[in-house]
Amino acid sequence: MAIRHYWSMAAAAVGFRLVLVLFGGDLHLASRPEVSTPLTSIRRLAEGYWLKQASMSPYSGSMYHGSPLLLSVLGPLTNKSLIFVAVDFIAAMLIRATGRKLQIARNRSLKSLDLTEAVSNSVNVSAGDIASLIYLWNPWAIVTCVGSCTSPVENLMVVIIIYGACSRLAPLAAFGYVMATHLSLYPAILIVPDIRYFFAEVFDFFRSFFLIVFNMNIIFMVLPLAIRLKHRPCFLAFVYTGIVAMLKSYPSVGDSALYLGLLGLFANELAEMHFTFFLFFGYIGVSLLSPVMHNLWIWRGTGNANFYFATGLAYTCLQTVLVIESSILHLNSLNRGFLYWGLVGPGPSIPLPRYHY
Amino acid sequence: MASSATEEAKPKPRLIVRLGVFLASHHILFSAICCTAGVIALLFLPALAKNTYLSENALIPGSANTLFSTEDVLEANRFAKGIEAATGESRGGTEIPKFIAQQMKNLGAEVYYHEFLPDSKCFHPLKFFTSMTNNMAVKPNGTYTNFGINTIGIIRAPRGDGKEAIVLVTPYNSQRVQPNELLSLSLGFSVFSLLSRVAWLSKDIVWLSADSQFGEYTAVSAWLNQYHNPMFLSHPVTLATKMYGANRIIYKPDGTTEKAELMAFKRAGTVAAALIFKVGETRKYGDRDSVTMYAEASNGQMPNLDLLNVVHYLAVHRQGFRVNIETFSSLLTSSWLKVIAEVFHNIGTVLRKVNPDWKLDVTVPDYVEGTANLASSIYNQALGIPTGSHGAFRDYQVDAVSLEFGPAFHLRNENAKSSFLLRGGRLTEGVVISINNLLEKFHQSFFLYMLTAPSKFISVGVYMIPFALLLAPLPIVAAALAGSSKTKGKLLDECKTKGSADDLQIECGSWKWLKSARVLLVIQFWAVLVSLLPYYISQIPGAMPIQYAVIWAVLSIAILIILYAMFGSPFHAGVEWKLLKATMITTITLGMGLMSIINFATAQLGALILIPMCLFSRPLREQLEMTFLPRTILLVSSILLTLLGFPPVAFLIMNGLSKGSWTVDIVGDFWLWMEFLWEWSSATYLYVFLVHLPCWLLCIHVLLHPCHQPESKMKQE
Repeated sequence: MAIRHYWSMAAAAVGFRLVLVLFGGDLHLASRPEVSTPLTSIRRLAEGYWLKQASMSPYSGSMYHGSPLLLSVLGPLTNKSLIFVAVDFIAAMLIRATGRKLQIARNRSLKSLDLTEAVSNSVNVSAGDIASLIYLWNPWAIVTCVGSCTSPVENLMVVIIIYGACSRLAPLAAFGYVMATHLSLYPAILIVPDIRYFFAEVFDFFRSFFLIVFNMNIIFMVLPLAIRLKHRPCFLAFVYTGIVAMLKSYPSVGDSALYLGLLGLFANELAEMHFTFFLFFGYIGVSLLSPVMHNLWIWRGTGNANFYFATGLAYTCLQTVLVIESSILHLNSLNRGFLYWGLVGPGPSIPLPRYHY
Repeated sequence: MASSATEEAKPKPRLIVRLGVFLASHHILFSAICCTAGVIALLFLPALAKNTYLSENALIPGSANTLFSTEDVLEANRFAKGIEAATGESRGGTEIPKFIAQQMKNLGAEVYYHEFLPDSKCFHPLKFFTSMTNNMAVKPNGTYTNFGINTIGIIRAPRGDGKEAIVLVTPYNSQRVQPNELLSLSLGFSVFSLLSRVAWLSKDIVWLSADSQFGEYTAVSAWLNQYHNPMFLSHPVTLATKMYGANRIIYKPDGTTEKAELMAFKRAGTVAAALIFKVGETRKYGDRDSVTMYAEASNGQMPNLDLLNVVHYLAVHRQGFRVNIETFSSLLTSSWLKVIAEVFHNIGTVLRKVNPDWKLDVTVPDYVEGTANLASSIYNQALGIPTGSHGAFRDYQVDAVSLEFGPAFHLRNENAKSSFLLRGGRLTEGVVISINNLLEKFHQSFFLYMLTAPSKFISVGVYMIPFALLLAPLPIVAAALAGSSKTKGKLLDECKTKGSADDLQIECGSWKWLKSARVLLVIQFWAVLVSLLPYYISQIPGAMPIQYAVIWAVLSIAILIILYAMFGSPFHAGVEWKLLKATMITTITLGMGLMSIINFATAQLGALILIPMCLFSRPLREQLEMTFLPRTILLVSSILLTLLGFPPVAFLIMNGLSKGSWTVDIVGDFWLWMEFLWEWSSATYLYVFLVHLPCWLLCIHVLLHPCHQPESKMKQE
């Protein structure tokens, strides 16, 4: 079932972005550390592009850390933030298409099991519409887009992977995969990788053991999750993006915008999620607290870096709760669904008292 | 069978969960206890004040003998005579800067003029979050004949590396110099001339004689802005046109090189601390000359307590001044405060008998004076407007304090004046010696404190307690309300079978709060619009404050109605009042928490008004079903608190309490107040409109909630 006024809401979101891009210059979003990190900052990209134009290596200093591809593609466009609005819109449309594909796949499987009644009775709203609207209207996605950093491009590539995989377009998925890993490396876990290759790669890159452990943390979760969620690859992708947003170095709100958008794809399964009230206001609180703490640390001098760091911890805790809660619920709804359809027995599920089925 | 199995398997919940459930089930009692304790703790604060102490050992105030002598007093008198002579042949207020510059030059100091335009105060509520580099100087268009001229002298420290500086500021009005300003100028000059001769300086000395014809803050902040933000002008022409008039007046046509030298902005190093001193206008009758310390900067920021300690120590124990801080004199004579003081004195004596270590038995006059000072301290911090030009320094993380000398003699009394100059000079010199000793910037002592006396303070760890007690019940109450509505919601869900898809999606399970969140978002959006309206309203020329205020109110209401028409009124949305209240309380928790970090005093005062209002709010319709006595109490208290919570009313009461006088023109005054707040870009303005006002409106919604809707729906099913 489609959402009423979908297109007007989507258009309003795009219009809102355009208004902010054109008139929001005083907000200085590009200089916020929450929005643009050293890896995604478009100002650094512009600097790198300038160095390249002056035939100097943009990588010789510590100014630019991004990809050379971005440098040549986005470099000439650094003063045109409108391109990011388009990128965001395409990403939202792809998310919507992914949702459609998932819906069709589910209905087909229900039909093949002669459960047409279940199909017609289901009052599920279109998850793709919800997800794309969440992505379009997510304040963080808006801030990332207006603050002109390269996160929207990275997010688009990840969405392309998922869309390509869901619609069985292997070349498209491969393209997205290659691009996404090229741009930020972390989406690499979206394919369950050859561990040995990664060890070699990681040891090559990082010198100290601490950095290795820190960066390997992500990889430790890849395999167990892949085994547990092997029936739901799309949800697995969501969990991976969530974990990447939590554990990557230089996280920004753009990463959260991505997985929150994908979360909308599972709106039907997650209708009974717990702690939603807490999570919603937690996210609001953290996103307001962060600039205040930053101001206290940098401009007033009455606080220190720990204040800001504590906000980051709270943010990560919220993300953890979100990912864990949604995974538990998703797994349980999976089991409950199979039980309802009479496919399998009760099967293994996470023994938590509050879910009875 | 399955359900019984799960019940058996149900483990005992953890202690913290059980505690939470227990508190949530007794949330009314809990919140009543916490709020009462919070108010009592707030009243107890003056009794908990500690004596100040020096934390930074490097300061060692008063250990060196001051060199300021009668010679310097004579120098000061000669300087004053010179200025009087110069102003005698006054031509447009440029003679004094010229004279001062000449005198400083004779001392061997580096001298320059800094010209600035009056600050065009405009509305920018977002300035709080923007960095300092963004508020660059105004773009001049056309020539300005009216500008101020600061005269600045720099002494390079013989033992320093030029990386740090101490700034001394003496404000004066270049258009009409008053005798008291003349005295402060000559005091400043004599100290400067002494410091130009000493050998021990390790930090550069900058003397800024600030032209206060547009207010001293404007002069100092303009200078500081240029000091910290070097201007690389792409259009040198604009600067030339801007300052053309000045150059023509000050300089003879032949002195072009000298002119260039005098106009070049020179800098010393990082400003370690700043001391602003001036002589008060009115003669203060008393046995001793007094010094009043002003320390509150923008948004309740304070300089490091050590700076105040040094000034206080030297003024009281070395130079024999009486040190004051600002106070609410109306509170000093109020009888109800005396009664409270008696009560606390008695409680304190009893507590002291229980444990002799608890020194809570402050005497009644001490308590009253402490309360009056503390109230003034909280009030000034809560307003978020600096009490003097030291506020401009704090914006650049420089610790600064303003000293206003209150002479107890007549300004024509030459003997008394000499003695005053001697002691004032020694005090200033002593403070400079102490700051000169510093190896790092002030960091040892407190930044977050309130003063109850010049030598008594309440630190952040103590003054947080009342606020924390007020805030503590909020999460519990929110959880209790959300929980109780959830159990009710489950029943509803079970009887409901079909409905439109949207409703089902929103109402099922744990996403029911989405509706109340939507109400909240609409109201917050409205609040943002209301807070931005004055920007447009204030551009209507030539209206009375009351007219502005009325336009503002009318537009706000119109916008609210339009928004409700667009997004649906909360009265028809079918939001459960408990969820609405839970949302409101969560918003307050967030808003108060944030505000307590930005400006604690505002949050404290706001919490006193807002939290009881929200805790008391219940739908009137539901209240009518109660028995008579609780109904009347609830009804009266909730209506009274809601009335109190309306920002203009709250402001009127604050104003009345602080000034001791009650005005009639509430509406116009409110506009003036708000204008005052946004001109100074105080975060209190943001608090009033982004936290207080939406919560008040939500509270009204809860009060007027038609709480029969869920039942009628159930019946329909």
